[in-house]
Amino acid sequence: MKGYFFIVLTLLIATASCEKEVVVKLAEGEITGKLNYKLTDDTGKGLSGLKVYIYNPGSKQDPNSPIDSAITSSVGEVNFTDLLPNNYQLKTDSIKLNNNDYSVDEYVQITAGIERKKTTKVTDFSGTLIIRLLSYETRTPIQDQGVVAFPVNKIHVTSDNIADVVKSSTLKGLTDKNGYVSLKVPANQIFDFIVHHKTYGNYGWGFGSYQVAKGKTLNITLYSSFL
Amino acid sequence: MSLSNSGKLTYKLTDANGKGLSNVKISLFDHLDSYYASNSILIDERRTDGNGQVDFGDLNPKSYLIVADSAKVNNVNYTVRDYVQVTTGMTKNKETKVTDFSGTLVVKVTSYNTNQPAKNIGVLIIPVNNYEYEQYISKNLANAEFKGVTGENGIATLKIASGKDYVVLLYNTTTLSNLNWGTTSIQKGMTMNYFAGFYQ
Repeated sequence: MKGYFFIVLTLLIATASCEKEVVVKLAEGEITGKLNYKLTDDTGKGLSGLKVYIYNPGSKQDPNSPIDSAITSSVGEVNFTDLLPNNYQLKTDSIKLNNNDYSVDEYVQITAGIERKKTTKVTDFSGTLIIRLLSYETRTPIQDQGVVAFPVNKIHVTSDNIADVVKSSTLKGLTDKNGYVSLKVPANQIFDFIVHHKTYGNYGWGFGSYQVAKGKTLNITLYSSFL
Repeated sequence: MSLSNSGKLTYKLTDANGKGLSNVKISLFDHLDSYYASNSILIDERRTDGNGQVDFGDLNPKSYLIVADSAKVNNVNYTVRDYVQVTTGMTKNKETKVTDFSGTLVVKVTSYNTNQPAKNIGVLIIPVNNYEYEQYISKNLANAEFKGVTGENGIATLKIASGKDYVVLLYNTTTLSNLNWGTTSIQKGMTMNYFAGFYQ
């Protein structure tokens, strides 16, 4: 009788401990997922040392505070684990690339039991400005003028530095015979323009404030009267 | 044994004959509800493969909005906006004919001089962004996505892409002079009348 009781007791304990273990695994497998996120340059090379913030935008607590952050590794990756299934927002500080500042801001969905891998080319956070330059007096297109976009929050243009701004900018082009020039610029940043004669200088600026969203195109008409 | 509560989604775009449309960007939106607003948020973006399909993989069980705005059939850009629901443990395979994103526009043309229906009037449907005024049409003829000519009753019926802003341009089929233009937009599956007239 004693022996029988011992066997039953052992079985009970075994069952109980088994159940406990299974329950834990169920919970682990069921409720969270992971994110592997990589930031690259135009060539697909990982960008290291960048701070990535992850937000839970649907949170009823404080959706404007990040729930976590991490710095990209030597191959440009960050990993976030134990994320509940949800949509998350990923943001970075401004990233300097090709002499311009880019900001990443995008969403990703995490599902339970899965590692989501996402790779983002930082320069994809750009939009296109299609600028048409017309004469203020005649409203006809002006050909062969230089147009330079500059971020108003970062560069303060004066008559002293304007030639240098034009020289160092990568966001510039010449108008074609219909007065058009198209510039790919970082998204969600405010730009103004410098317009100048390609040989004689004759700089003008202060055409207004323009910004474009990621992957979008904005048509802009500028009127110039000084050429 | 799968313990996840997610489901899967594949989505295929085809032309009117069921042939897959490759290399079309498909955007997947969820929505974010707050006390103040409900915003669509882009959570994934992929291009269709050689068969016209994208595989979005695992998704949480919810309703999603699918948008494709560069699906081209017969040189017409259709705007696809489709809702799809993903359920736990299931793979949802959805197939959509982009040409279904159309409506019917009934253009009724009257001559103001005679107050009678005007027959044999050319009708061009041009995307608003491609329209430029011309006294005698040539560029607009090339840029038109849909074309028609009014019959005896002064009516031209056209099946046009839905969810897009168009210019409806009327012209003289002999002289090619621009008679009248206005704008329209039509919802999917809808039939709409468009009344216009001209002096000649």
